[in-house]
Amino acid sequence: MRPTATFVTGMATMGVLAGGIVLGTGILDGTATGQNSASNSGSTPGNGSVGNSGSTAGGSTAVTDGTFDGPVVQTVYGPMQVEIVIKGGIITTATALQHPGGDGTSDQINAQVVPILTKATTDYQTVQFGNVSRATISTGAYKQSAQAALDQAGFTG
Amino acid sequence: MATREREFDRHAKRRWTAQDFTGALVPLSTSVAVAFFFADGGATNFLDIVALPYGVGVVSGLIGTNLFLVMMVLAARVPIIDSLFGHDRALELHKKLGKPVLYLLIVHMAALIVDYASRVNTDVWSEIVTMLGVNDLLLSFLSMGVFVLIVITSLVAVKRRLPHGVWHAIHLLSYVAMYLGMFHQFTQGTLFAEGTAGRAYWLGLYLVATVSTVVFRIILPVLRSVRHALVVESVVVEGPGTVSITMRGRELAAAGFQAGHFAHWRFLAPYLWRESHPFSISAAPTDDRIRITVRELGDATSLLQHVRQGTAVWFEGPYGIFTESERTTSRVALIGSGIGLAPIRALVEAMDFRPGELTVIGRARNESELFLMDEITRIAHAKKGIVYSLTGPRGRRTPWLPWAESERGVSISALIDKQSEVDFYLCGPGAWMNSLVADLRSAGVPPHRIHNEQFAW
Repeated sequence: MRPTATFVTGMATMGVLAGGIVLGTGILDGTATGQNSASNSGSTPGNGSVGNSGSTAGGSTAVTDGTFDGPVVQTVYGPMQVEIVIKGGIITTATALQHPGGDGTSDQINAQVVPILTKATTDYQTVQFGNVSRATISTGAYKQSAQAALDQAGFTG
Repeated sequence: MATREREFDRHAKRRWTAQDFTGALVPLSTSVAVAFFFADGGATNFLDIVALPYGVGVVSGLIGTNLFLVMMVLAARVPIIDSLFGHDRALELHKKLGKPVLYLLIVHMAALIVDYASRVNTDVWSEIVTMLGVNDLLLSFLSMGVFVLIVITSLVAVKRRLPHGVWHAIHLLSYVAMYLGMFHQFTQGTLFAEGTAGRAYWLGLYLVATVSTVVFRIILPVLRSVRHALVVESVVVEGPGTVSITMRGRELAAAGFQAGHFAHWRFLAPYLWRESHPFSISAAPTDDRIRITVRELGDATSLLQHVRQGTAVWFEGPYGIFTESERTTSRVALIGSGIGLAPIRALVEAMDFRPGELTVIGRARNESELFLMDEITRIAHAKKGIVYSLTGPRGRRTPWLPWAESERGVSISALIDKQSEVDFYLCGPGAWMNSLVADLRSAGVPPHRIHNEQFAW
């Protein structure tokens, strides 16, 4: 390969990798996927979420304040159960009552991932955000349990 | 004259551009595979020590598999690759990639076992047992076993001790390894999960590797062999243990044979039909005749000395870039040693030379092994070329030359003037050619003016 071609190919290779990284940064902080930005706009905390939830499609259900526990979702690595607290029509806290790994500190992966998931839930007021890479199974179980809790509350935001 | 030189120049630049674009596909396709993982958030795994084994495991698996598929394509004898880089250079890269790919896949396996074990807080051995219980992972472990076997049997030291047939049979298991390893890539993790762009891309790579193998290694050779219906027309003794075999066939122009090409020939005769052997064509091909020259070097080549008229011949080819398409300038030196003179004979006939453009050098231990040199000399003289015949035992100082010339301090610059502006076509045994290339390089001949093909069989 001629030197110029080697250089151009090298740059292109770097470019492709950098492009991947740029596309990928949105996944953990939740800004890159279309779903996130859609649900993000207009439903951020303290931004009139009550009115927001009242005006969603159907509009028949009102958001109930309170604490809602999702079902226990079994994964190959263990159970996942999410508790959602809603105050004034806003998701104020999301907690994993149980998560894979069981005995708490032992499972470093979940110790890392669960805070990301709970923070994303309160930040975006939805569980319709992108997957946390490398914790696909935990993310899936988290969303399933949390979504069921939100459904109980009538939260459609 | 100037326009002729410009034309060669333009042709060479077009070829280099095509080579560069094709060559760029290897690193680019590899980076695309890794970029799919990064786009899925994978890059963050490299930011923290706990996640590192997962990141390393996935990335090494992606690079390893991508390069493995590149190896399959390189071995598939795809015409575009062959005409740009040549069969031997494609296989050289194929061989070079073997061990790195194995190491990458071992890293992939080890890192992910460690990662999965740490996730469920178990030890590596019980994690392996768990994994063996998952069908697709069991297949991938088998794939790894096959791959290790293939690489071990291809190590030079081992390959030399194995009969070629056994090595080849084991090597064909690569296709099995390729598919055994495929399933877990789509079912484990979400990178290539259903409905993702990554899945389409990755399946596309497998499709390219599979289709190019089936089409170019099986279908095309069979169709060509049937269509051109080659039969042995005559067998002529050229020297000790060396014969020229002329074959007659139909519509051979359509097969695209050029002087300097070789093919794998399969003679449908007792003992010979089971294996195909590579030989260069030794005369400019015509639409109904093609000739090869075969030196007795082993079982098959000694049987070929007595092959009968009318024997049907199947072939895979034509292959190689030891042809006029590699030419970059008007002045050309064709240099062959022993049976390596066979393609030189075809080139001297087929290439376009104006007076003063051609030099031919034939080299052999003795006159009787300067195969086809009479024909070469006659044609070269008709094209106003200069011919040197060099015979005698190997030189000490300059091993590609005979002893006498070597001792007198002769080198390539004594035989050809303005060497850096000459295209050199070399064909002969590996050690001889290495010595000649070293001489050319020290005489200032740039690498792109040196065209060679190894006669390693």
